[in-house]
Amino acid sequence: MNDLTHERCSELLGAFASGELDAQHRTQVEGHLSSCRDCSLELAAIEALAAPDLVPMTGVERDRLTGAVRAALLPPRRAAWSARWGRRVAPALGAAALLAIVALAIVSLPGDRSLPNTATGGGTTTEQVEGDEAELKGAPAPAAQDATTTETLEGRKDNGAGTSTTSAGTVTDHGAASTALRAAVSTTVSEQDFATAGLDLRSLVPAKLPRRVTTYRVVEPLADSAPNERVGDLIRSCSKRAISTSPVPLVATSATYFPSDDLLVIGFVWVEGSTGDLYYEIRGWRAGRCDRVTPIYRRGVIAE
Amino acid sequence: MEAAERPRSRKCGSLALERSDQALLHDFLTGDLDAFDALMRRHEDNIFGLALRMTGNRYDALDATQEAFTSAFRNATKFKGNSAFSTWLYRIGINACTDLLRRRQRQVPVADVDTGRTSGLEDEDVPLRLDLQRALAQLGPDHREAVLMHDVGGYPYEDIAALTGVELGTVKSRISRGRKKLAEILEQRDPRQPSKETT
Repeated sequence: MNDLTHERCSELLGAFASGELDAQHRTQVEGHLSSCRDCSLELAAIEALAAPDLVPMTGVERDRLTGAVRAALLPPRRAAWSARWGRRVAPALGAAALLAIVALAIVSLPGDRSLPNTATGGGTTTEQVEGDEAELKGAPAPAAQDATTTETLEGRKDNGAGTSTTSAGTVTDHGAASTALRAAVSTTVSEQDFATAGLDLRSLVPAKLPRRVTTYRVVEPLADSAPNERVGDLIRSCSKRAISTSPVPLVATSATYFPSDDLLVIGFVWVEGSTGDLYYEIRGWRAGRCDRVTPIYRRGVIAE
Repeated sequence: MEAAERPRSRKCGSLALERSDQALLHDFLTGDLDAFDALMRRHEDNIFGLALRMTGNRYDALDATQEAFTSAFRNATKFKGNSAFSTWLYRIGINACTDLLRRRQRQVPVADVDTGRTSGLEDEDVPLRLDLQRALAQLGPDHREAVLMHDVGGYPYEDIAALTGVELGTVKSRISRGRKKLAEILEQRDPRQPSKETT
């Protein structure tokens, strides 16, 4: 009859669930299951884990994944690109020359099929680091006090100190080139990226805000003030992403875009329910990857 | 409920005429990008499926999958060959998911109680039961790892034992206990399930 030990049945349950057992073993397992609650539980777990309703990766998701992993493994090349075609070069060259350099980069990157030896490649980390929980009471940088009244939460596009203030034409050209290179650029923002872009994060901290902060559509004015439609869409997507996944009711208050680095930084605020304090958060996204989880680079209380 | 196709059977069938994981890994370390592509194609679905179960949503699953592969390729020289490469990679995947969940503890997406759908992700269809992700999170790390590697990853006991450095019997009992606990947690959450109490 049924001489299946409990341990043996447990070993067979996987194959049983996927229909791989021969008839004799299947009958034995069925017999054991009818009287063993533990094994019935195990089988229920196996079936739950099978989760047949999962949707596998789409083609787009696969390409992004491969591109992102590849970019993360190529830090030396990535660093070289930022240094040569970053902000420092932009002022000395016209838009056409800049586009030509970038076009050369597009041609050379996919053609080169070699990788540095990853054993020796130090590279920057893509570990996501939480920003400091700095309490910046009453000490915002001067740049934060321009343009915004304290009565309303207007969408404010803050070109922080040192941003490459390019003409509309250059921004458009750069945007097109950035799109083409997006797959080759790391999608994780690091502290170094902010420094490279010349951004002091504290400059994005709002100086003062009205006490009554309600959740309303501040994102639209921010997006409308963007230099081009692509950045406008990024502001919408990245804000939505942050707001929908945050346990606190974030309100986007500022958006800063660095075209030479394809770096978008959005500042948020929220009201802490128990204390009524106003908090701010600053987050950054690289290369338009608003689907990426982003670390919070600065978080703190805004003084009265 | 039909059980999903087990990765184990798929792996045995497809590798006959292709280079082994070990060979591809060696090629990758000498700078061969084609080997990199091949390894990713071969394993990305496994890791993604794991990540989807552990994180419960697509955004996080893609992030964790990316982190897992990046970490694995970065540390490729540390793979000792005690187990299959695939098993080693899978464990890195579990760790990447655990790290992501830990970082996002403050950012848990709020799920609608009736539909189970997560707020803010209405563009994506996420039919996965959110309670599976939560139930997995409640297992101890050793049990969770053993259950995921065997029941989701399809890796044999011996391979798991070799990788994690424990006895075969320990692996089996972790799997058994992990499954039971998982089922008990899920049973409590699902009001539609009839009670299985027989005592």
